[in-house]
Amino acid sequence: MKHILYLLLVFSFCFPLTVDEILDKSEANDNFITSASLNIEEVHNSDGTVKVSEMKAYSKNGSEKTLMEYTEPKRIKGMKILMLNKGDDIWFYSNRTNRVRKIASHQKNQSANNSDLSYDDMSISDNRKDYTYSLSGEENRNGSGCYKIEFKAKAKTGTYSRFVIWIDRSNYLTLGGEFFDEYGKLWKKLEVREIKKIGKYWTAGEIEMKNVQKDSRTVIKTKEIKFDADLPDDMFTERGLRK
Amino acid sequence: MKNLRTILFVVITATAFYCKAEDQYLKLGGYLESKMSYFAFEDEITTANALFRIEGNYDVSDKGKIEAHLLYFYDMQPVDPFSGFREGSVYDRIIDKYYQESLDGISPVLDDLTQDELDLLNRILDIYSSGYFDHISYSSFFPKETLVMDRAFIKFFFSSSDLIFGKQQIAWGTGYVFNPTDIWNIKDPTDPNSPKIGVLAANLDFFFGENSSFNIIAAPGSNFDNMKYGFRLKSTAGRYEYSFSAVRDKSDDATLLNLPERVQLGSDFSGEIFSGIGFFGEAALSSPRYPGMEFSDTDSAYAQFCTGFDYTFKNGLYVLCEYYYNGLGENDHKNYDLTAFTRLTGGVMSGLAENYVSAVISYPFLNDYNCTLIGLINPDDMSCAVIPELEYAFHQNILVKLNSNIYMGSSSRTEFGGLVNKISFCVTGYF
Repeated sequence: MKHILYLLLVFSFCFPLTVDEILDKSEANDNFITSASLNIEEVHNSDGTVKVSEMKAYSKNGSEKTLMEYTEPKRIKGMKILMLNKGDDIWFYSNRTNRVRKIASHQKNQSANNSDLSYDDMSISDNRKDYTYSLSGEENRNGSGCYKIEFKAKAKTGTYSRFVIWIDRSNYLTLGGEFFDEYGKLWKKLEVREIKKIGKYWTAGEIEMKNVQKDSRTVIKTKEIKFDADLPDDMFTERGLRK
Repeated sequence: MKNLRTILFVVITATAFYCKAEDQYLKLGGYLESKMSYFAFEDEITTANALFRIEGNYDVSDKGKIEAHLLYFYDMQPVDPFSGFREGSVYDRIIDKYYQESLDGISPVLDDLTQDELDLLNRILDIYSSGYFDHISYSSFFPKETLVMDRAFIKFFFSSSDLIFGKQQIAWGTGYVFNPTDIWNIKDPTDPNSPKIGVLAANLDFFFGENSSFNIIAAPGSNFDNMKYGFRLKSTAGRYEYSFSAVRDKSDDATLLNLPERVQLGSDFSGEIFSGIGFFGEAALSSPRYPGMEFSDTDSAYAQFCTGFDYTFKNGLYVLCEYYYNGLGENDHKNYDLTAFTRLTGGVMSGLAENYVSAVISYPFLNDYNCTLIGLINPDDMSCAVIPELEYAFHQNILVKLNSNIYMGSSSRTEFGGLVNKISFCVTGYF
């Protein structure tokens, strides 16, 4: 029996994980039932000005459904964004007009609330559907051994022509990324910091997206987060947006 | 009376903010908008006004909520009601004709009245006209000072339905510049983003599926006959959202303007074509009933529809194009008359003519700036309105806007050419 176990262990090292297995394990980090968080978004513009927003975010079924509500600044307080089907369908609600509007594909690559993140960046898109991908090696990033995975757009209509992500070998969390525009030029850089385990889930305390072309950056800090709290289903519907 | 209003307003505001500090379920906010306009007219008129809005809502557990918006409008320098029209314009002619006809009709009666009766009549007319124009959202007839409860409703949440009772905002349709299916609001196509005025109604929404609903609305008038009611079914199919509606439209305002009762069947949709270009539209078929006429008389039925597309380029440039067909409109400027003007004022149609093409271009730049250009063309009388706007976010909660309405076309024969060009400067602070 011991020999069999030993052989299995040796085999597991001999046959490294495939790129699909790495991505499966990475996506499994989002396998929580629900999450509710309070986040601070800081947009650092190239002219040195900083704009701060506060938002509540709720997710269900591993980010399959996400609802975000801005609570600051006052001008956009009450504005909500609902993402269903892992961000395939996005609705925008403005409390001032009491109108729910579905965001068309052409708007998904636009900046959300003047930040460096687009609506597409904020959703957990199924990248394996829209991009071809391959494992291009292993690298150290911020002291952690990472898998480096490269994605290339299948069609020219996507937000990025290609992007690279680094996934931590120990917990399969994405630690960073580089995103390229339609001309193949580096556009944005992602940094994920303050990794911690809350309950049984690994999560990031701070995310930074830097737009190298605009010389601006957006930092999202998670102030509070709770997992697997009871969130009703109708919260993630058009009805829920108007509540 | 004015002092009493101001005191009442201050007391409500102070109490509300005091309560907010005490209660986590009470949410308060609002804005102050200060606007100055310059009309490029022979007399060079300037106007200035301020709008203060307090928005409050209180969550009554998960079973309901109460929401109220108080609006205080102060005309610091009011504009003469007809100064927005050029002398000799189609509007000028319609108004002159209306007054002439009215005077011809009443003068024999007036001759028989005593001085006391004439004074009484004048007082009644004053009250009548101020009350009348209070109902028209974009009219410049606003009194100098106005305190309005724009929203005041209670919302009840049931397991699969919501009931909203009171003055509430209702927004139907998918069009941007025009909304022919929206019988609840009067839309000014030259200001498509202006806030919609609250409607006093009972509104019951049944929800089914992920994003489908069946909505029943009734908006009472001063009597049962002056009541708007109807339903709307809304759902999704793939990447498209669509709705069907049927409404009976009659209100106190319509009665005042002598507009007929009508039944309207409507439908709207929004979605995408060519995997990325936004595509939307709405259509309304209306059957008016004039006195002594049945709904089965279809001769007077008319259609109105709009359709358009929009697209956002990767650099942020947003483009929208929309066409509006108005079955009640005229394609010959000679037919712009009092009836057409009344229908326009009453919100039965959004323009005097039959066809309109509008285009919107918007582009954000330098982090805090956004420029927008709205073009509105009336190809029937060859006139157009061009509305450039520059918006600057001075602070996250302070917006500064500079915009202009430029009208082109013959001043005596066209819809837009008869309007006076203006420039406005507006600052809005949110709290």
